[in-house]
Amino acid sequence: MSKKDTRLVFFIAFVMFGLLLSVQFKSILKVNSKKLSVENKIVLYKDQLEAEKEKTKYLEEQISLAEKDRENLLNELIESQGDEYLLALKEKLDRTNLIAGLTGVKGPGIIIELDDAPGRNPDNPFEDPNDLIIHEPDILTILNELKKLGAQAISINGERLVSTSEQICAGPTILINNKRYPVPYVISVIGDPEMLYNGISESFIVYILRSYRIRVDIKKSNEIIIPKYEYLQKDIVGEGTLK
Amino acid sequence: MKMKIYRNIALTLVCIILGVMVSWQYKSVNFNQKSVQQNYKRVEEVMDELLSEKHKNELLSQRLNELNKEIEDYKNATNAYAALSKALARAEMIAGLTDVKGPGVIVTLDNNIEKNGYVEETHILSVINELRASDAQAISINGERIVAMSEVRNTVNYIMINGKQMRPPFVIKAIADPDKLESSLTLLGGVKENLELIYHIKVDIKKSDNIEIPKVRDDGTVIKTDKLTPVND
Repeated sequence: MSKKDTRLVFFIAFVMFGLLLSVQFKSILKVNSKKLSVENKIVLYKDQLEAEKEKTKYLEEQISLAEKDRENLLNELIESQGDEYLLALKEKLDRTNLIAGLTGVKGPGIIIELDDAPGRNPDNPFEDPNDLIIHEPDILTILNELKKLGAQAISINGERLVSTSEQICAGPTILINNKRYPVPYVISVIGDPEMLYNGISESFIVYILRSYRIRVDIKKSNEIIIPKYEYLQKDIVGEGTLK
Repeated sequence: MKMKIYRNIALTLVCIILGVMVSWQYKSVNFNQKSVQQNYKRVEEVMDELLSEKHKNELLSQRLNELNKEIEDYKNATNAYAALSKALARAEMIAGLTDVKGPGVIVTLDNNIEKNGYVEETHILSVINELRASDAQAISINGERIVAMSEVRNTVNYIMINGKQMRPPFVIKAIADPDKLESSLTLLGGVKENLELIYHIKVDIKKSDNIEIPKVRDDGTVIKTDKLTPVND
């Protein structure tokens, strides 16, 4: 190898070296500026989200205050007027609210806690991880079993089930009444505790879930509190499409 | 001679360093791009949450306004009648205690005996859930209003809904935006495809502008409230 060849090789090597340096430098600069703008956005949105959540809390408090006010006013009105028709109307409203799920209720029943399996089974490496988590049909089936057993009110993670409540599995969370909840799922049910407990413990769906090591914890209780349905769809609230 | 050996060694070293750097560079650029993409995903998630929270707040403020209006009404008797009747009508609608009509879809599920496809409770449950997920406001099956505590029970010869025996075909009516209902049912890999391809059931979906859904039977068989004590929080 002549001295000239060596020089050429060195020259090429250093040119490439320089090129690499500049490309790397540029890429890092670019990524950093992108990262910064994206991260700024995240911070911005998170702040806004925080503010919105505060607002939600405030609105919910105001609504429950207004509902109490309304109740008191109505009672006062009925008392002062001694109007039987008004009283009958109010009693009918109370019962309808109870059926519709617009009143918080308490009573005897059971609490079911569902949680995904703790982890893979080390003895069975071919296990499908999909089998180890709770899916939409599992929840639907459990709820249906409970209804068969005479459940009178049900809530999942404090979300009252009404006639329009959906349960959608979205990734590791569940969507109920348009609100998102992660595992564990706590299902509170009011009904005959013995019947509910025995029926659900011996049900096929619970047997299947337990065989996949999904945790199903069932407890009887004499006083279960189920909140009223809070979130109302626009169409039902206003003069919607219904007659 | 010695000089040449040194030179070769130096050359080899430079080439090795260069090679290592190239691979390092490649990896780092790749990694950077990935982390940026992940951040974008996070932005989208936060934004989704923000939008749904805003939507919720809109609905809540609307409800608060309505309540304040009602409170004004309850200050004198004549207005109170009207306000109470209105509140009652709304509660009855949610409870399923009134007949309703409106636009929506009619889904018919039927056995496909040649292909051994039989309608079972889980199929009906999945259709109901899908309808609810697309904001159905009222649902009935073969004339039985589906309310919060309606069950669907498989037995050997028939399916029981609200304690009433039924045989296929099952005519499921739902009131909501017909296009939304239809498109969510007919989604690729959605409920209709699942029922047809996996369970071989006949599924027919029809949009309609005038669907009538009866109220729930209020004769004590479907709606039971003897175990419920109201709590005012």
